[in-house]
Amino acid sequence: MDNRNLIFSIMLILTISNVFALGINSPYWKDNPLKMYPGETRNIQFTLENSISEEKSAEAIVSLIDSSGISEIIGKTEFTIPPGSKDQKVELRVSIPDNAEIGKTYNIKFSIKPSNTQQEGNIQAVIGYDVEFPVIVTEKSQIPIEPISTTKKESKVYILIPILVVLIIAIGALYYIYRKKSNLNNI
Amino acid sequence: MKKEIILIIFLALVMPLVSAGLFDWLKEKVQLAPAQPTDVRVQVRNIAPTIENINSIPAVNLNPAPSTTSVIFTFTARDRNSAADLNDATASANFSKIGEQTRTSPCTFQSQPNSREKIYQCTVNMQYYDDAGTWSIGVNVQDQGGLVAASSSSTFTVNLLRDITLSQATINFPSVAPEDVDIISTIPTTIANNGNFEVPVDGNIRITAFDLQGETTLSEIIPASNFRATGNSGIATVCSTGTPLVDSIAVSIPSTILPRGPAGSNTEDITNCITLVPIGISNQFYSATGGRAWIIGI
Repeated sequence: MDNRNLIFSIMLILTISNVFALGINSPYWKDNPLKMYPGETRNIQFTLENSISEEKSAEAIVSLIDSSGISEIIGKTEFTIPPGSKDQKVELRVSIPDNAEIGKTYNIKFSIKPSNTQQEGNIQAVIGYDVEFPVIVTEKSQIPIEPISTTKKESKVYILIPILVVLIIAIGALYYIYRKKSNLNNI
Repeated sequence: MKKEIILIIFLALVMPLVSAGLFDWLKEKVQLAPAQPTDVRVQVRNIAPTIENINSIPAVNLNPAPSTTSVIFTFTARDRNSAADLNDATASANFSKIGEQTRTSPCTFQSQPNSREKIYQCTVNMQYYDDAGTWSIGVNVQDQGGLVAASSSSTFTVNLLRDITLSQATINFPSVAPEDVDIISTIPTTIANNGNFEVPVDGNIRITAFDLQGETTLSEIIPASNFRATGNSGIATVCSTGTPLVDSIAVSIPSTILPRGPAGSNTEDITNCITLVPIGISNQFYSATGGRAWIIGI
């Protein structure tokens, strides 16, 4: 391998190893909006993830693009996410005004970009995410309790009622027979 | 007499539903006319087990590719014949959603809270590309007689995972000269989808471009608006029909499709074109790096 090929190989390896890898898990999105009632304040979390197959940590900066006047980032905005990590959270506080109209939709948007970019080349390319989700103002009674679970548990009352009814009928019938038999003996 | 016969038949039918203690009392107090002992024979039949409870599963954050995500939960099964009648080897669980591959797993015996119930633990593995949204939980177990207890009335949510990687971290062009037109990037940038976000169902691929600055004379630029970008479907005509880029603004590339799925079926290639190299710019390198790096995202 001559020197020129060697230099090319090294540059190629450096370039590949610098690709930014990062993911974000969202509990709310276009088809799964956040539902809140007027006057409610809630903290919600988005989980940053770095694949277990990555060799090094990812560094990212989070910034709010559109707060819709109801949200703010609480906690840190700069993150270092080690490979395999799932414990780094972007936390937002969402507050619905007391006088918000039922049915009104707010759209919140924030971005995640790498904070450490050192590649070479004509145009450096990095990954970024724009996380966007709607917040719908809903009646308090219509807010689901989380985690959503519709587990059905069989009630014991429904089993006991028919048994009780059958018992009453049986006792009644026995009493009737006993009386009839007593009457016959008297005769 | 006829009424009595009907009542006796009725009693014979309802007695199996009543406790055995009542038979003792019956033998003692009731003598059917004419007084004579009567044999009573009751068969206690096998009753199908039931699913009493499925523990709720909090919203699931999927692991990005290539990992799977283990979702662990428990359910309680009840058998009125006794817990020992439940056949542990048949306990299983599944997660299902319309249009998605059902994820299944056997479950293992965990504990026995009382004489008629058993708790089973299930670990179901989900893929990074399983759809976001509401999934149904199905569980079932059989008794020793083959009667089945099944439930699919519970649900849980899979969160939306945005996770992509780029095949290379630079977009390179061959050497160009002022007034050159329609120069295509040397190799396309391949985007791999490591999550369950789907383009265009959940959103689009967006590119935030920045003007290329002269590395020697910073005031000289190749504007971002002189670039176009497209997905796989538009490579042949990228320089004419590709989406024009805008300096510092995220632009959606509508021609792109980024499916979710196993490796090999979850990629999209982005090709760029310089439609015109400005007239009168000097001979030097032009680049966009560091804080002006182009952002490719979803």
